[in-house]
Amino acid sequence: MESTALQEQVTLLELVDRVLEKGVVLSGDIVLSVADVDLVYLQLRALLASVGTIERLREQEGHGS
Amino acid sequence: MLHLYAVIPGASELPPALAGLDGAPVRRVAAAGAVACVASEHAVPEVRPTEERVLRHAAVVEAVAAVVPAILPARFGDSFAGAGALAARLDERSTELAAGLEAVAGSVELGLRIASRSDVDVADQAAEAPSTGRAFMEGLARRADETRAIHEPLARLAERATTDRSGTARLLLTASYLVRRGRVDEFRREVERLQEQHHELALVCTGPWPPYSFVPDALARV
Repeated sequence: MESTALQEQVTLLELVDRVLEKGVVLSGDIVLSVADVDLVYLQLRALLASVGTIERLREQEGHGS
Repeated sequence: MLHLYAVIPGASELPPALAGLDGAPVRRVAAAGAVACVASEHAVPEVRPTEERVLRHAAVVEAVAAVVPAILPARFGDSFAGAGALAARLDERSTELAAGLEAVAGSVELGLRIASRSDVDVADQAAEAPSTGRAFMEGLARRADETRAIHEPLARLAERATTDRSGTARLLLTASYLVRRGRVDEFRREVERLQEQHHELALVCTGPWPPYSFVPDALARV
């Protein structure tokens, strides 16, 4: 469906979103600072695809009309 | 401190020798009849998120999900002072957790992002031509119709679905679908079919994931 590289990039972003923002919180309290969370996204920034990149990659792959 | 990865059925076993954050062994901790917890023990009061720890947390959830009939992933940072506190909490919420496990058993989560591929998107048009307020509103309505035309057939193939429209002007929709394992291929084919119908949009489907987005509401709140 999508190229491996594109799929991997979006998948990594989606993985981090799920681990940090979804799931049960049994303790009722998640003690993560905004700085901690920002740092994770910063560390992954080189690997994350912006929506603009998704478009460019799709066009490069010949999906453009 | 115990770092929680997931809740599983009380009778389920873990894969052997599973390594968690910072190499700590992952164990079943506490059980209250129908439910049990998956956790690792750490000698520090908190384990802060890093790229490596986040990926390891996800890897543990995936490894456990592969060998159990149902799983409720835990959010990173869900921690307890000790096994006693965890056992007490598990006991309090065991009914809801058991029902939550039953609701996701046999299903996986698939993610979808819908992005606009148009060269000039609706928000840009509005910024350049404030007198075309009507055109702007019509553009928004058109986009809502398009995302609905994609979301609805996919939601029909799912047990449950959630959507988030709070994205950017170009990210039209982020959605998650709880899909029976046996229907995943059919779901993906439907995404491909919808992509062909809507070549002006980019549809990116990810997964399958453990059901992070489909845990009981009351237990998803901080």
